[in-house]
Amino acid sequence: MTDNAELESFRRKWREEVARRTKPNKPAPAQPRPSAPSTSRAPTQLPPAHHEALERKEVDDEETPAALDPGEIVQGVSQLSLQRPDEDGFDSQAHRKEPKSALEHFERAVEKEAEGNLGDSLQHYRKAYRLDAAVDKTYRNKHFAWAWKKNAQVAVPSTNATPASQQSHDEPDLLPTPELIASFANLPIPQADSLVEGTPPPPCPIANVPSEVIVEILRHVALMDPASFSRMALVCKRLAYHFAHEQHIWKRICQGSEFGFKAMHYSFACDIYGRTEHTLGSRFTPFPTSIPAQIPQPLSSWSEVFQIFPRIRFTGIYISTVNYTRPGAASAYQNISWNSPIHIVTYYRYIRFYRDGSVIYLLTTEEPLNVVPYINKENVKAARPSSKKQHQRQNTEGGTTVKGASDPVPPVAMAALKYAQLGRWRLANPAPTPDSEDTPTDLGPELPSVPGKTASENTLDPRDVIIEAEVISPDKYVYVLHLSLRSFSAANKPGSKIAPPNTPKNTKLAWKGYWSYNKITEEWADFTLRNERSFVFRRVRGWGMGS
Amino acid sequence: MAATPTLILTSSDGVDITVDRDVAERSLLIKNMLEDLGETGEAIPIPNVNEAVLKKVIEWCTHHKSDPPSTGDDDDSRRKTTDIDEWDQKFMQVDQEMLFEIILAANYLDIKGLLDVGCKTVANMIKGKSPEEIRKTFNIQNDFTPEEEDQIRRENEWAEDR
Amino acid sequence: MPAPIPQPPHKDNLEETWTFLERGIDSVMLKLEDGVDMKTYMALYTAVHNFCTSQKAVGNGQGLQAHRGAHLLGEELYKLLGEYLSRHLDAVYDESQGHLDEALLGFYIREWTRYTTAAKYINHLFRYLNRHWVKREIDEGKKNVYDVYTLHLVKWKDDFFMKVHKKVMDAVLNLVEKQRNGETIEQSQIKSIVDSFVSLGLDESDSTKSTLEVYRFYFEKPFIAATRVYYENESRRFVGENSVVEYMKKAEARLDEEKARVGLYLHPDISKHLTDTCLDVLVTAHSELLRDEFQVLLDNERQEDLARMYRLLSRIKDGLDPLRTKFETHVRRAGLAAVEKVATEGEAFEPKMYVDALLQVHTRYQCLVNEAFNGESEFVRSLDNACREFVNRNKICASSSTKSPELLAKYTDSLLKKGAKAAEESELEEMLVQIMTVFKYIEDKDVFQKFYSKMLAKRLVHVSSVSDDAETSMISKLKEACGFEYTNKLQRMFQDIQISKDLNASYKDWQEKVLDEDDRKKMVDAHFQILGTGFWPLQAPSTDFSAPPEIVKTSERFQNFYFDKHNGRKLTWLWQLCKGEVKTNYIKNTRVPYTFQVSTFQMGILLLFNENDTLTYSDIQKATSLAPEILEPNLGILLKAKVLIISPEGSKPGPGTSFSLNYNFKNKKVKVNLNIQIKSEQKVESDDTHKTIEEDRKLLLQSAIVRIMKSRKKMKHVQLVQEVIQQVKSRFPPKVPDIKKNIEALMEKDYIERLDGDEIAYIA
Repeated sequence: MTDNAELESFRRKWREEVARRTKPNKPAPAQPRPSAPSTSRAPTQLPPAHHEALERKEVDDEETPAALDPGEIVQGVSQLSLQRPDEDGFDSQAHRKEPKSALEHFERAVEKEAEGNLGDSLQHYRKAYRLDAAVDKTYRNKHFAWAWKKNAQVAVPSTNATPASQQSHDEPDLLPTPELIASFANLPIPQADSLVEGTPPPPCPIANVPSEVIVEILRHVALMDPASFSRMALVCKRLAYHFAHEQHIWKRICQGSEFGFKAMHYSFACDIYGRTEHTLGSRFTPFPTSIPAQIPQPLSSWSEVFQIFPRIRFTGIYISTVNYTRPGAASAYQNISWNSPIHIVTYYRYIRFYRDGSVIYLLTTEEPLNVVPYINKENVKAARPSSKKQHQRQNTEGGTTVKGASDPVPPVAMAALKYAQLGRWRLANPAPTPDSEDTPTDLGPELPSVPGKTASENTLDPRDVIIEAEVISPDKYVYVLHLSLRSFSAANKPGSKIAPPNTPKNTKLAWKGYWSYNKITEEWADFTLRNERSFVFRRVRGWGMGS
Repeated sequence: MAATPTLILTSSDGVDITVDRDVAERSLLIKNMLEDLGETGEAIPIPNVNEAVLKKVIEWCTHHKSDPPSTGDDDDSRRKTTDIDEWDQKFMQVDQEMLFEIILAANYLDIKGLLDVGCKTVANMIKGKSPEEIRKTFNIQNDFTPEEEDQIRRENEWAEDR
Repeated sequence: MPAPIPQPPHKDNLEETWTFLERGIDSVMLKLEDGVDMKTYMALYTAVHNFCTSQKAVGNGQGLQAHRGAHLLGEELYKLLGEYLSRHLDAVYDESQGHLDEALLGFYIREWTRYTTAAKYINHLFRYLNRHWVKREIDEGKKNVYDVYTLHLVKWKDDFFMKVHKKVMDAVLNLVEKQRNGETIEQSQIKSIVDSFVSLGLDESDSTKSTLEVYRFYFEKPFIAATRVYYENESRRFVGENSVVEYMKKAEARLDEEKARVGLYLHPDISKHLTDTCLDVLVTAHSELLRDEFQVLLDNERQEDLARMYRLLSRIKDGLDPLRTKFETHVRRAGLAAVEKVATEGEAFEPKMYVDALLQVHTRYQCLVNEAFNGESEFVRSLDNACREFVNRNKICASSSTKSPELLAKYTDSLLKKGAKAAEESELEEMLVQIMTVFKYIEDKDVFQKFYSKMLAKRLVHVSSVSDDAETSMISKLKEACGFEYTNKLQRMFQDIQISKDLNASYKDWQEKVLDEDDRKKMVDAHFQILGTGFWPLQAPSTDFSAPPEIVKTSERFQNFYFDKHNGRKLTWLWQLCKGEVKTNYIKNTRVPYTFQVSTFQMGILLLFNENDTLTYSDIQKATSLAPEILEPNLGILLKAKVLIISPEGSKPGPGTSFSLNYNFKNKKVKVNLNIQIKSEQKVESDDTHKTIEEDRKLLLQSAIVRIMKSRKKMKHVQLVQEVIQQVKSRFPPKVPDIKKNIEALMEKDYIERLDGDEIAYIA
């Protein structure tokens, strides 16, 4: 009956969520109390993931250690839906077929939910439950069978335990991870067994390579893609040891511009249209190679630096999904139970960062799958009405061949990209010079003071990101977004001895301020952040790999 | 000077190979030795490299004989690490055993450029693959228990960068 | 037959590998001269490589991992190599015990050369260890791990150098002392030791760099200390036995010698420290002694020794300041003494004597500053201070500081006036330059200007300038020194003279046209100068004068012509400055009539005698309207020249006397100059000039005050006084009470007013 309770809990939370969002428009009591017909039909159903994740917390209250972990959903989704490890959900629409079976609908619903698109998610859940009332069970058997079964044996009911964490209860005697990894130090790279018994095993020349060369190879892998490096850790124990212990590789990554902090900008590096601004002095970089680099306190290793030090990613897109409800009149859909006269509208904000300090910012109702693969500068330029004529030529023009640029861009994406804004980004300077007299750095206009404190460079949080985006028609305005890098904190499940997953840090961008700034009068006009949701990073295949 | 000075290298399997001195000096080992001993006319024994591999190495050195000498150990920090020029790519189209032999020889003979190209080639074989695919590519056995594998996965999840 | 190839070791076995390597290293370290063959070389390198890359390294049990695993191998080899080097160096040390002094140096250098040569080989042989294990250890911040070559140096330092450095340095210092004492030594030995010490300086944070720490501590420090002791002793002894002048020569020679020593065999790093030490011991320690000698050298004008003293003391901190003070006093005294000598001549001295005396002192000491003190600006300043003192405040100026500018102006006049011993043009120019030298020091520049313009006016009016070029040159010098304002009026005077020339020419043309025959017969040949009132330091005549009718006619005619040309101008006839010539047709005893050069006043008197042979005093006075104080001296001159005869005979001109023409006048010259300046006139003129100076200063101060207040509107009293001083300084040194007086005066005239808080405001 626990399951039932959990489902109930999810639904309650979800309704609260809806209610909260509608509140400004409509007083709460006016909300129709949705009864949940499916509950009675499927008492043993269990929701597939941490639905609590839907409760998106804002900047200030999300960092409690016990906060729930929407990141895991993202992680879970990627494991479920992706074939190749560095592919992404936006890869191609072509091979996505429309869901037909109840299970397929359920899976799609989970996916949408993970993306934050509640409206679509809801549609799919509805369809799934209509087709098969016990679909969630089927789903669990498919995707979480291993955990499910173990859980059943142990039978420790827990109201908030999730399938992913329940396994922990089986392994009370695991070594702490660092010691576990340390124990791998002396192991060889094991050679695969013979495919056919009695025949010699397939050749494994890498097993004969001395450590110094292995490390050299790993260094190249890491500089091509740190994620590939991390996958090497899962190949065998010996490589897991290297992954954890070759700190000089991490140091090199941190200092480099491939993925590291050399590519972070702490003052604007270009103008709002992406034209490079040249400065005489050298730009600030936290770990210059010219002097012996220091690991910043309180961090203790370069991998931690890479993990925790505020860092913008160029290998994907940051998405903020916003749902708002519009009360609608009773519609033809009324008969599809769920008893909701409310339309859920979903819109998205997308931010793509570039190494050169430029950024693309897009607000659209178009969902990620339809538009994300096509967000690049060429397409944005092509989509502009002024450059319609050049559109035909743009594919043949030189420049970075980003995936999507060579494929025909679907009209739906082109239409959305018409509204994309170019801009520039920078991080707050963690070590602002008292007076930038020698090398003037472009920090843009000083942000308006928030009540109680001024937002001068010194008071910015080092995790803060400032984006200035063009306003397409009048030249005298600029949008200023004040965001801040945040992490999905991994929840330590009560009763678990296993450390929580070491999820990626700084993959979320929380809102701190949003203005329209008049460059001539230097006036700031505030946009309300009431509906805004944090941006979440999603990797996109092929993005940001070149430098 | 009439002809370019040549040296004789003797491979581990006893084959003498004549090679231009400037080609052979891509190997820092040989360069240092000639610096220390001067040229004696003796054949230079290369006890760790067999004929097939040594020829391959010489082929690479011949193509790259006019490259600027590598200066420091970190001089690649400015270069794009993924770049392998076309000739090198073709050169490295050999079976995996030969590839690693070349890498080991480059490491032994102290030929930084060749070692780099070799390691990059291997890195390219790894890039974008799942752990299981990597194991398959190199015939590596998975020596984790499922629990260990999961534990490591959780520990390293942050680096997946999603 | 080739030597048996050593059996390559089993790569996993540490003991085997090391035994093999040790044999190879031994032959490199001890028998390198026998040569190493390629096979051995490659075998050694390969042994290191193979051991480091072996998958299973087995040692004598403990300490080694069963499997290399993820770790880099090499630590054991590195440790064993280090131990080997320690053993080798212990043996070297034992052998070194048998050597002393130069033999020890020879031994050290020999062993060092052998060791470092071997180190280069071994470093190459162990390169695989360097590339991986060592690099990793260093990357991970391990202390006390170095590349193999550096390891050799570290071992040398720790296991050999630390035990012998004192003995080695003693030997080095002995050699150097011998050389300082004049013996010939083998310098290259010391150079090799220096190089070795320098090589041992390792940067702890970056082994590819070296520091000079070891060299500084173990070489420089004792070397400097020994140098100090040596020169302390030497200089003390030398000063006791020789003169200061001799000591300075010695010190200078020693400083040069030590400087050369650095180039010969020391490291350049020591240069500054060594020089500082020598200076400290050789100069600073004896600086009092040197300075005491300064006055003596000055008095005796020992330029070369003064220059040496300057060179020595200029190299130590604050070495020269006391000299400068002494020098300034000395120059001032010399200047005052020179002036005093002039003053003994009494009132009668020529301005030239005075100026020459000033110049002579200046020239002598400027020469000294340039030659001995390197023309150093601080000494130039001292010279200037001294000169300013004795030029403006000396015995002759005791009564009034304006005496110097007056004398200088007079001297200038004497040079520029016709009649003085006409100097060559280039010589004259040079003298003008010298005048400017003195002028530079004059504080009351306005006084000079006054006198100068007066005298210039006279030279121009009387056409008595020696040359126009010289006049222009002088004015442009003054302009350069004091600015346009200062010479503006002088330049205008020149212009007036030029304009007058043109005017006279056109007047002549006009006369041709206008005059009839009769007029032309009676015409007086005249030349006119039109002088602008504002620019010329001239006054209207102090006496009435009725010009003789001949002149009146001419002057009136000119006036008509002039007013025709320039309507509305006023002309004042400056009769006292006019002159003319009259012919004595009445004297019969000469074939050629005498010509008298006379002033207009004299002319007025003499022309009266055309009508009468004898005239009474009152007749003359009535006819000329001249005031008695002008009339009487002029009559006196005519009497003295015996043109007129007074009666009663022997009396002084005055009422009751009468004068008759002397028909028997006789003179050697045909042209007789009667236009002689009257003594009393001269004196009065000088006093007048001084009076106008006071007046002018008042105006200058007031205009400065008004100018400042006009731009500032409001300012504090103190500030105003300061500003005024700043503005006026270049003309004369104003006295604060004078400024205050003038501020008061302006308040009374309502130009400015006093506000609260000592503030003064401008009233628009």
